[in-house]
Amino acid sequence: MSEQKRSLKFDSIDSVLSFAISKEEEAYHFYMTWSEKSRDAAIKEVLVEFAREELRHKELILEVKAGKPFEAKPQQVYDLKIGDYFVPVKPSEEMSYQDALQVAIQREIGARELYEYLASISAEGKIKKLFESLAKEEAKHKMRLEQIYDDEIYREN
Amino acid sequence: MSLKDLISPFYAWKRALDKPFTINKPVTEREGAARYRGFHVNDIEKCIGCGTCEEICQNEAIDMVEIAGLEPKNGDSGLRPMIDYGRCCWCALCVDVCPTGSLGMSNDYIWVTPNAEEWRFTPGVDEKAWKDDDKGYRRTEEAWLLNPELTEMPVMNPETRKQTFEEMALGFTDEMAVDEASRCLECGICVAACPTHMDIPEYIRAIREGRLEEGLEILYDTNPFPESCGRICTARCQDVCALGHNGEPIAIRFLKRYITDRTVEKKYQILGIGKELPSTGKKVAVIGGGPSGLTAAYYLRNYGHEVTVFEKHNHLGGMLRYGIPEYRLPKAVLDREIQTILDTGVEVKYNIEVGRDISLQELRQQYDAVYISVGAQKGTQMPIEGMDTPGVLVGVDFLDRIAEGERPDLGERVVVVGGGNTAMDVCRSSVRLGAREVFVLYRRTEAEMPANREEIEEAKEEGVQFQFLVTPIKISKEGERLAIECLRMQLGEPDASGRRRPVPIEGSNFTIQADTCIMAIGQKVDSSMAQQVEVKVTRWGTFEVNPDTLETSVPGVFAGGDCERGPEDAISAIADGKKAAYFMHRFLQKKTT
Ligand SMILES: Cc1cc2nc3c(=O)[nH]c(=O)nc-3n(C[C@H](O)[C@H](O)[C@H](O)COP(=O)(O)OP(=O)(O)OC[C@H]3O[C@@H](n4cnc5c(N)ncnc54)[C@H](O)[C@@H]3O)c2cc1C
Ligand code: SF4
Ligand code: SF4
Repeated sequence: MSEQKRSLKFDSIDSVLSFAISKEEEAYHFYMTWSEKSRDAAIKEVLVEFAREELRHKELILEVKAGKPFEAKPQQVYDLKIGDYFVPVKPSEEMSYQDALQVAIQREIGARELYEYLASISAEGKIKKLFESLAKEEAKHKMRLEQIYDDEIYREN
Repeated sequence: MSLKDLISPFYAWKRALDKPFTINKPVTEREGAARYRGFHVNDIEKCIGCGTCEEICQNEAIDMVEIAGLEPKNGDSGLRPMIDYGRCCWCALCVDVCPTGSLGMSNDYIWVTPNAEEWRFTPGVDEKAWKDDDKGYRRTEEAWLLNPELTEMPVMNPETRKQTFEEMALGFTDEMAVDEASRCLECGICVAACPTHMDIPEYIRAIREGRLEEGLEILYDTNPFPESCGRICTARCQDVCALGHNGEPIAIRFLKRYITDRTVEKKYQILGIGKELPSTGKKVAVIGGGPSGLTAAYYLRNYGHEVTVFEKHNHLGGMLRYGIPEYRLPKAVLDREIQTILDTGVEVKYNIEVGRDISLQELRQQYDAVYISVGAQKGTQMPIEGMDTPGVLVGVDFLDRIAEGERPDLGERVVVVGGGNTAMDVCRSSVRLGAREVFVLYRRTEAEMPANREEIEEAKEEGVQFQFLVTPIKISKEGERLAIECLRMQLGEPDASGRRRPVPIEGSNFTIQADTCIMAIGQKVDSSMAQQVEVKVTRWGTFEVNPDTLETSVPGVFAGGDCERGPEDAISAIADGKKAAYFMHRFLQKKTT
C-alpha cells in the first residue's frame, strides 16, 4: 500500500469531493508541465487536450459538490483492458503519441484503483457510494482513451 | 352520271345523327404478359451509372444524366440512364447487358402524353405508375451479354511454393490476356477509384487490339512502377469494377503485368528513356527512394529538373524491397523497374540518412525544392512485458533482414501477432524459412482483418493457422523456448460508433510455446527531421500538408506517400509522387532565384 493511500482519511462527502478535485488539478498540472517540456508541437497539443479533459472532470465534480447527482446520463462502461498489461512507461520529452496515450491510460488506471481501494475501506454509506462513483468515472475515462488506442495504435492488431 | 351518284353524298349526312361508333379509349386495358417489354424500371440504389446501357443502345435512346441529390462516389459515377421513348424500340439489349442487373422493363405499355419532353424520363427517378413494378422483362443468366468468369492466373501449387521465395504468380499467356481483356466494358468506373487515375480501359483495349507498345506508354503516363503494381497493387480498381457486382471483376492488375511482361525488352525504345530531356536548371532533392520518391523523381526529371534522391539504405525501393517479399515481387523485377527511372538521369546518394547525416535545413538551402517521402518504416510495438526477450522480433525488421538475403533459422514453431498485410508477409515468409507450424494471433475476428483477402487465403493454403480473438499479454523464456501468455477475447456490444471491440474474457489465460514470436501490428513514421525546419507534423508523426498541393507548412517543401498518409499502399504513394511532381513543377516555374 502506498504512503498516500495509508495517510488518507475522509469523514465527510465534502472532504472526499475536495480530494477528488485536488487529484484532477494535479493531473491537469501534470499534463501541462509535460506539454511544455515536450519537443514536438503536435504532442504538446495532445497533452494540452488531456489537461483540458482533466479540467472537465474537475468541473463535473464541482457540480456534484454543488448538489448535482453523479451519473446524470448512465453510460455503458466496458473494460478493454489494453492498459492493464502495459509495462510501466514514464513521460519524457521525446514522448510519441503512443507513449502519451500509454501514460494517460496508466494514470487513469491508477486513479480508478485508488478510488476502488478507498471505497473498499469505507463503511457502507454515502462516502463508499461516492468513491464507487468516482472509480466508475475514472473507468469511463480509461475506456475512452483505450478506444483511441484500439482504433489508432492497434489498427492492425 | 346516274341519279344515285348525284344524291349519294347526301346519304352520308344521314349518319350525322347516329350514335358514333368510336370510343374514348380504343382498347380495353389489358395487362401485359408477365415478361412483356414495357417501360423501363431501374433500381437506383443498385445502378452504378456505368453507362454500359447507353453504350449498347443501337438507337441512341439512352443518355446518362446527373440526378439531383445523387453524388458521384467510389464505384458510382452518380449518373443514371434517361431513356427517350421516341427512339426506344424495346429490344431490351440495355437490360441484357446491365452488369448490376439494376435495369429491367415493366410490363406496362399503356401510357401516352402529348408533351414530347415527357417522353424522355429517367426510370427509377421520375415518378411513374410502374416505377416499382416487379412484373415485366428482367435479364436472365443465359441472356446476359457479359462474361462473369475470371481468367485465372496460373500460380505455383502451395506445396512447391512453401519451399521457395521464387515468384508464385506465373503470368498470363497471350490468349489468357486477350480473353480477359475482352470482358472489359470500358465503362471507366475504375479510373476514378485508382489513386493515380490510370487509364485502365485504354490499356485494356490496347491488349485486345494487340497494341502493347502503346499500352506501355499509357501505363507510364501515370505510373512508373507498372511491373511492381502488376504484381502487388491493392487494385482498388478491381473493387469497383462493374463486372464485380454480378460476377468477378476484371483481373486489371494482371493485365497490367501482362503488358510489361511482353514489352520489357523494348521498354527503353518505346518510352524513349535516355533521350535528351529539357533542362530548367532547377534542382530538387527527394528524401527517401521508395515508390513515392522515385515516382516524383521520374516526373520531375521529365519536366526538366535536376533530381537527387537521398536514400538511407544502400538500395532503392523502400517497402517494395524491404517489406514485400520476393515471392510476391522479385527483386530482379524491382531492380530493372527502378533502373528505368534512374536512367532518365536521376542522381542518387545512398547511405545518407537525412536528419542525421545531413539536415533538412541544409537540403532546403542547397535545393530549389524538397520532396519528403520517407515512408512509415518503424514497427509499432506492443508495450507488454517481455518484448525484449531474445526470439521476439519486429515484423518489418524481420522482413528487412530477409530482403537483405538473410535466411534466419526461426525454429519449429513461429507465432506472428497482427492481422494486416505485414503480418501476412511475415507468416508466409516464416513458412518459407522452414518453420513447421506458424500461428497468427489476431485480437479481433477474421472479418475485421485489414489484410488482403487473397493474402489470407494464400496463407491458409500454405498451412498457416489462425487464432482469432486472442492477444498476447506477456512473453517470457521457458528453457530454450518462448512462453507467450495469451488471453481470449470476445466481441463486446456495439459502441456509439457501431463497432464491436474485443474485450478480454476473465480467466481465459493460456500459454503458447514457440521458438520465435514476430510482432507485426503496424508501422509508424519517423518524422524527427521535421523539427530542423519547423515543418508541421501531426500527432501520429505524419507530415502535415495542404491536401491540394502536398506542400508542407514550409514553402518549397512537399511531402507524400506513407510519411504523409500513414502506412497505406504503393499506388497511393505513387499517386502522391506524381501529384507532388506536378505542384513542385508549378512552384519551380514561379520561383525566380
Ligand atoms: C510488409 C509490407 C507489405 C506491403 N505489401 C503491400 C502490397 O502488397 N501492396 C501495396 O500496394 N502496398 C504494400 N505495402 C505498403 C507499401 O509498400 C507502402 O505503402 C509504400 O512502399 C510506401 O511508399 P513510400 O515511398 O511512401 O515509402 P517507403 O516505401 O517506406 O519508402 C521510404 C524510403 O525512404 C527511405 N528513408 C526513410 N527515412 C529516411 C531518411 N531519414 N533519409 C533518407 N532516406 C530515408 C527509406 O529507406 C525508404 O527507401 C506493404 C508494406 C509493408 C511494410
Ligand atoms: S448498365 Fe445498368 S448499372 Fe450501368 S448505368 Fe445502365 S442501368 Fe446503371
Ligand atoms: S430497349 Fe433497346 S432501344 Fe430501348 S433503350 Fe434499351 S437498348 Fe435502346
